[in-house]
Amino acid sequence: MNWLSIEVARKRYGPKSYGQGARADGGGAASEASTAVLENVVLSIEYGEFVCILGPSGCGKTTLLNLVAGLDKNFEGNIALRATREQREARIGYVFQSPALLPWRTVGENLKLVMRPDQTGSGVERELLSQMGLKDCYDAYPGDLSLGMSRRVALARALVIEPDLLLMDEPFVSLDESKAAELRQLLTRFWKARTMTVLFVTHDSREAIQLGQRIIVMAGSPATVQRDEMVILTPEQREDPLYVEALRKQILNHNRS
Amino acid sequence: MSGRLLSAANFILSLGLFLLLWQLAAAWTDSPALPFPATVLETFFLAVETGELPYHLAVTLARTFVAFLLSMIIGSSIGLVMGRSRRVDRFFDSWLILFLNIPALVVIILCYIWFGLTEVAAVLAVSVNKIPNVAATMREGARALERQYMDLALSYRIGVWKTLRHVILPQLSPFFAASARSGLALVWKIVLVVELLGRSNGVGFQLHLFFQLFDVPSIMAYTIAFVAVIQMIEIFIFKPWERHANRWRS
Repeated sequence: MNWLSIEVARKRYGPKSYGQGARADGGGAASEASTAVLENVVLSIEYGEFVCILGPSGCGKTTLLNLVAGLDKNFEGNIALRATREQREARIGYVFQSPALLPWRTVGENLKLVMRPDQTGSGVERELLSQMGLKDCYDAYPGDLSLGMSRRVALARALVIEPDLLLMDEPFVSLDESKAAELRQLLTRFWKARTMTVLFVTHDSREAIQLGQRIIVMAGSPATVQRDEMVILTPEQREDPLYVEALRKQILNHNRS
Repeated sequence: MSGRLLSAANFILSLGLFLLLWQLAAAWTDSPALPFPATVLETFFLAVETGELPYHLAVTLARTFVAFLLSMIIGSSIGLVMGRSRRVDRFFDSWLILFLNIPALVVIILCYIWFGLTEVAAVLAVSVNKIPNVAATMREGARALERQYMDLALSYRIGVWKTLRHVILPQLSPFFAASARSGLALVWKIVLVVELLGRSNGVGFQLHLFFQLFDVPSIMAYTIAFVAVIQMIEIFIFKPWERHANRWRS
């Protein structure tokens, strides 16, 4: 049985129950004019897999993550997340496209906010932050952090709950390449150290090849799954431009035909 | 430091000019209808000494406090629900507009007619006057809530209570501060009218009495005492709270 099974027959954008976006389009009439963003997206993902979802910006990748996260239940289809081996409900960590740290709470408080009741007072958040090179930020407010630091904290917040499923929505976008590479290494390290499934959304094929065990290419309007590729490269090969370019060509060419 | 000194000097100068103009006007009119500042001060100390002013002031403050608290809690709740649910908002919008436009006096009179000349009626009348204002302000705040923080709260399943306390209320605090400020100013003014119309104690009742006696010095003494108390609340409660709520803005 698959651990995470995604079957989205169709997802349309209609009026939402809240938010400014919903208010702007005025409701009733908009539901008829709504367009489908996702169609026939069927994926099955095993526990512990590192899956990259690759596709052009605005093709519906974020929408898909929100469906998996349960933020949006308004779609045709079914998404099933099985319990973990310890027979408890799977925990989901979500790293959003913007760091989405609460600016009125310190870094430490931001982490504590999402922690489980049984974790409080254990100091795991302090330990994790220092493991991630954020020791001195514990009492800082997010407004005082650089973007790179904020993204690191956002990753720490997702990891502190020890997620079984880690959803990441272009988490390293608009960072310079060296900072992004650093964070990718950090992420790979944590993924190897713990058993967790990662669903990593990106529009950058090089990033996808560096990280993913499996790359799912999405494109079109409404978006569908174009390709579903396993990446069989060693960590060294993932850094080698030759291998990376070859695989990119393979993925992207196929995409066009 | 010099900035603080300068603003203190500024304050004293401006207050001095006000007192001077008052003094001149009183001398010029030479009528019991406009007493000298010194007379008002004398009346004030006398009223404090007899314990009359502190008593009535305390009664009025208690009413103000309860009515303020009630209208903030109820008004915020209504505003939150209306700001978050389009359906509720659309349905009750006309109610809100209606209540916003009912004159304070009408509410007070109706409350006294329906519930009798009681304390509950008095406080209720004040709250009903203020609730629509709070609701309207808080509705704007609720509409402006950031989607990304709600998504955060929902996807990490932090629960209703934590969401309210750490995610929603901090975003509402500027709106809360605005409605609390204007709320206090409005509430205490309405409390006086309520007292004037149907209570047998409080500053409003006293003012009514002084009006009948044409006792202008007492009217002024009570007014100054009350304004001073409201200013203290502003300086010692609202300002520090606002500083605390905004500590993260560098």
